Amino acid sequence: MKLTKQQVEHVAMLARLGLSEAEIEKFQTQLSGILDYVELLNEVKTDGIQPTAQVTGLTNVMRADEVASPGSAKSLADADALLDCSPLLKVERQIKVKSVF
Amino acid sequence: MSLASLTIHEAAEGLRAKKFSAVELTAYCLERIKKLEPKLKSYTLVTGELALQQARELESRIRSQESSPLCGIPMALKDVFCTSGVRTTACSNILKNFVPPYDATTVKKLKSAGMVLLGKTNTDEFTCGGSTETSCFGVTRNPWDLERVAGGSSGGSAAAVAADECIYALGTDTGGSIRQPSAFCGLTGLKVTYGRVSRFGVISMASSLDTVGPIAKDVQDIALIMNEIAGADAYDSTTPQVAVPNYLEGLDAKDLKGMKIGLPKEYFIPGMDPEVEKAVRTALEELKKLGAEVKEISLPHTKYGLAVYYIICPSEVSANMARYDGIRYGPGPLKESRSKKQESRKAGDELMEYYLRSRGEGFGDEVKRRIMIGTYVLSAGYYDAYYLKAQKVRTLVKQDFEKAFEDVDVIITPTTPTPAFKVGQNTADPVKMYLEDVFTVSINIAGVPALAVPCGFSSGERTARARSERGSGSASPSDAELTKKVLPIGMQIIGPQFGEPTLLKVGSAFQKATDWHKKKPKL
Repeated sequence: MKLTKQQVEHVAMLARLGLSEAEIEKFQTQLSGILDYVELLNEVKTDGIQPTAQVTGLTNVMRADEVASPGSAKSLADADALLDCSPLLKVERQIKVKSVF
Repeated sequence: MSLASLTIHEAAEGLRAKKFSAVELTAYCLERIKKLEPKLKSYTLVTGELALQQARELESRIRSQESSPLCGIPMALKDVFCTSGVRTTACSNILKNFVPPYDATTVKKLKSAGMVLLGKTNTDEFTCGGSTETSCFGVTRNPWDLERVAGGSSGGSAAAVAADECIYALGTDTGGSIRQPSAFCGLTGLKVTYGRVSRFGVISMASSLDTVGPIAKDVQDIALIMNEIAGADAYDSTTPQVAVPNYLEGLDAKDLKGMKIGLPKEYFIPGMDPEVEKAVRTALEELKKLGAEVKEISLPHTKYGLAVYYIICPSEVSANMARYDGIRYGPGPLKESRSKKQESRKAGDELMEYYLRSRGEGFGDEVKRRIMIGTYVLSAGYYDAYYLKAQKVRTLVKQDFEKAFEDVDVIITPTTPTPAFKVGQNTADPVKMYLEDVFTVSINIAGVPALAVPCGFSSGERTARARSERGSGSASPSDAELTKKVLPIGMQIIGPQFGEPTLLKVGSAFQKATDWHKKKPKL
């Protein structure tokens, strides 16, 4: 099955990836090749088989929702240090992004 | 022989006997790094000053009664482990200037054991790959043959350990990324049971498959590292509350009497390198001599492992990579904005363009491919046919192993179908590159542990011939391919979930009877 150029462009938009024309062309072939390969699974009968999302059988793992004061042993990282990871302007401890609306 | 070629246990003994100091040991490793890095490119960052400072501070602690065997031992971390204040990039342009404000749990644990951090090692971008060729820092070379890859994605960690640029390293394994580079570089590497070691603070690739584990020079070192890093973590909800054993116990076993080893017929396939098969079969004879019983078994869904992997892994990659939007992490778009007519712009266009450009420029080809595949198979209308189907076949692959372990204690296979391939050989065709993972991915799909141990060598000549017979190499091997460089071969020992102690017992008995793990590349 060969993906169309429009399909590749649509997926790139869904994934928020800005691709060049050359990339779109390349991925059209390569993605089709990968999808052809995984078609192999169609020969496996899976009626009545439960899907596996994780392998060790854990469910609903909870922990206490505690506020860790900055600098305490439980505090993982300083909020300002985390904000500093952003390349954008910070205003009143918020990241200023381009207009959404 | 330089100090840097020591194992952890040898170095720990030397430090305690005051044969050398932690600073001297660290300086030796840094000397090796300085000498070899221009050839190998194992490291993305060398933290020499920090390492020497850490070593100095640890000197007095090493000789205290309760100090860890890892105290004062210089090591390296794959560049996906968050290290507070030390740059961590995942070898991606999108994280190239990321300095984490916190430590991964494993880093925290190793720091309290007395880690000396030499630096961060190269990996495929976001660990997506099997050759360390997709890193934004360039390709890591195999210390056994500089024209070949070190494997991947933990190729930098493996090359650094093999070349004695550190005593041990940590890596991650999502589809073979610890075992395959260990095999390619002649090392011992452990892919742990899913959840045995915390993933907190380790940059995610595919969250239901990712594991953290050690790459080292022998099984005893693996056990020493596991004793420090294994265990449940409140910050990683996928780490089960399973008691952590002393991984050194059982390593003294002189024989393997009563041990049942399964040999899955599906892993001895036509087209695999005859020298790989021969080395593994010879190793099995060795294990029989030690008293183990070997029987043929079947893992009937083996054939589908890779297809399951290349649906589930990209799906999880596409979800995990969504956080790199150029807003929470840098650097944002770097190139000049594409010219667009201002009047046609709607509100929000600028933000969309910011995302598209940050991500389009920030990610490399293989990560983009996986994001695209994942987005496609998870999109409306395709989810059931691809993702749900793969999750169901995942159940069958997992059940294959569960059934097999009702009958045998461990399963042994080659780690890879061939020894290290040449740089550039598989980069043009993604499916061909993916096929290199054929023996390792099912283990991640089932969440079971597997230990890679060196079990022999192949001559470059034979390898070239085997490749051209499979149709995956050039029809006539080039002169370079005919040069007689020996390449390590690895054997994979697989166990049931949380069966790491049994794997280490088998691996240790094998290493007591053989000396493959002691061979060093000539550099």
